Amino acid sequence: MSFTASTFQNEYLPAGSREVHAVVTVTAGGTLVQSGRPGEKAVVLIVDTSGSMNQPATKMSAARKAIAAAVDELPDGTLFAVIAGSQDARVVYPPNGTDLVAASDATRREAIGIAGKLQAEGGTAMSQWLGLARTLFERRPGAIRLAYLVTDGKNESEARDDLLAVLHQCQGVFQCDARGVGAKWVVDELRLVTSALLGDVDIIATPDEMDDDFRAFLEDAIGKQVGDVSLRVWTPAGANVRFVRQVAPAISDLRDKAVKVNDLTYDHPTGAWSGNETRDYHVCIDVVPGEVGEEKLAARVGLVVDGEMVSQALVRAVWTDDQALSTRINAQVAHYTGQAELAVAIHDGLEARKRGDERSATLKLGRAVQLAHESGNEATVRLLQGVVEVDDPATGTVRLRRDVAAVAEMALDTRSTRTVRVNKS
Amino acid sequence: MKHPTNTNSSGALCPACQVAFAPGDSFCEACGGPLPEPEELCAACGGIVLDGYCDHCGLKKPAPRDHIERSWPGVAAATDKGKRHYRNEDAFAVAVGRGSVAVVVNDGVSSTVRSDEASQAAADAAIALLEVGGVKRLPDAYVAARAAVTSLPWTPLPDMGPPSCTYLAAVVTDANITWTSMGDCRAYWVEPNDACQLTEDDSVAAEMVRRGELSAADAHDHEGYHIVTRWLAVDADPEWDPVVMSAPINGPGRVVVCSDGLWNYTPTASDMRVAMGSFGDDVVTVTRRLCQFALDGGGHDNIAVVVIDIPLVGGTAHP
Repeated sequence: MSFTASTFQNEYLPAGSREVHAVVTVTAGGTLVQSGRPGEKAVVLIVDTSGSMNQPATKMSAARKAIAAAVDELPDGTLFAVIAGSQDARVVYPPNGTDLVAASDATRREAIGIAGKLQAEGGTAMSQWLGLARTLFERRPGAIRLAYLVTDGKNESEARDDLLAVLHQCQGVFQCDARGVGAKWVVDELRLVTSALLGDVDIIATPDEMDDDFRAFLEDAIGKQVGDVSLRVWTPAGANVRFVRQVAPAISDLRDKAVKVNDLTYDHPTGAWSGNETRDYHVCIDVVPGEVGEEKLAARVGLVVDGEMVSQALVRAVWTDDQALSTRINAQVAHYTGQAELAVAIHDGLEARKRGDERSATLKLGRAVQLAHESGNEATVRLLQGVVEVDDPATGTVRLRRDVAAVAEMALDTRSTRTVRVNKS
Repeated sequence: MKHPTNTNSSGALCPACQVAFAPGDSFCEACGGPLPEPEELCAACGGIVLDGYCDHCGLKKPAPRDHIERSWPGVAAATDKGKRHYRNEDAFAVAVGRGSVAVVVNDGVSSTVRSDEASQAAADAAIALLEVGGVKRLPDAYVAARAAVTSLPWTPLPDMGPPSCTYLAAVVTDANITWTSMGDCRAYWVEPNDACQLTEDDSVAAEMVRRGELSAADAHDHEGYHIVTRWLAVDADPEWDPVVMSAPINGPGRVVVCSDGLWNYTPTASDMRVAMGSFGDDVVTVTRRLCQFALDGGGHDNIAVVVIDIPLVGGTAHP
């Protein structure tokens, strides 16, 4: 598998200016050829079996069905386990409960059989679930380690600090996607999990959609080819990194997970990559201004796989007094600046709505509609329509809906960070 | 301009025998083994230059075209990036033959893409013909230069035109100077006590002067003084056809061919003569002095200048 990185920016700055923006697009392609066990994968399904999964009982039966669907997708040799979570956690498969097993006809059949007998009972303490997953994953340090957590409720059986402490221990051991079923779970809670563990969060509005979502996770997991990947960012002495964020396929800040390599260089874990995907990163760096006519490197942005640099793009800064050059706007940078503003507008709009500040909510969500419409982010426009009546998308003229379904609001919240790429046409 | 120095002041040791080695050595004095390549150091901060940029402060390593000097017996040429532009889009080429010297000077138009490559391509293409065929090939040299510029691949950018440059090619003998020009590079004839501008600019102001709409004295302050009306590019008017011009010269004296990066600071021929300094100085000294004159004046544009002694020293230096 190979990575290519390319830079999109207007490198020209007016005299005295220090703020450098660039979008770096990283594309992975081809099949992994790697020493050792190539691309060994370890998958742990973490399923909420707290008492609320029985209300209604269709939720637990849908979960049993979904586990079976996912296990059925596991390719031979993939290491796996199933964890049932309530106020504590237990490994329901494999039965010995201490290590992952390789998928085969026999283990898949056995796992599906046991999952079919899962019962719902007890509370919800996610730190227990994640901690147990970590114990299992730690036995397989060389594998690409992916977890999938499904819950329907609040993390109510423990303090938030318990969860934070365990998340900290899990970082770097495995990555985790999280799903909330229905409308009784808390978006910020699952987002805490996925942002710490490099996964994404989403809503499963009704239990009958569970098996499709489980299957989709598995397909995505099967495609992953390299696990230990970081975005390495070098900046010159005296520079200040304003932000390093992934901006496609979704916005996530990478700076808070930066690991220092040396005084000028930081690594930002990106999670596992499949053999065919593209991600965009937006970096913003303040550099010490050069003289007019000077050129400096503002950043080297590269991909590091298993500790080795595999591809690198350069972010440049050229000072000029030619305004025709320095006032040019790079389409990619402008687009992702807009997508980031969109995510913030949705977040702020929903917050204002919860506070009962209708005026502010209308303004923010109207602005969100306008930004989503302008950038061709149709999926987000549709989600916004679940919360507001859109009178004119071009001007962002909207009215708050009176009858907003909880799942509509949560879907907008969880998916507010999803972006579209620049329309090349 | 400071140059990076290849020093190894940290007292580095031979990787094989651990004996210290002197800066610049390729092989170890003690064991004869190969020594590591000396690192290139940043001229500004002393950091290590990695990929064309300093690994500490990020400063770009000077490009070879930022400053170039060449000389032949009785002929000297220099070009400099200047102080305000981020790259050098001026180019020159010189061919010294028996009894004649051919000179090409080009100024890349900075509001166009790849204009640095355009000027170099034009200079190289024109000089290749003039070197062999001399004055007879001036029309062909122009066609070749234009073809070299228009064949450069380019991607459109907002507010940027296709690769473009101005063009001045001249062939100088002891008796006359013959040239074709497209744009606002200039040739001057300079004697110890007199000087004249040979070429006419293709600029908005110069054209108004030629039509009698503006006085030559007012042209310098006109907003169209620096707006060129003719250039080499794919979007150039096919009707623009340069005329071969010629003027007799009678040495001793000097021919100066330059881009506007120099003549911005020497707007009249007399200014040029004064800036050149003493006629007792050799052409290399005079060329450097002119370059420095433009830099001291602000270096707002790229600079290219060629100075030729008349009578010609002779053509033995060039193959």
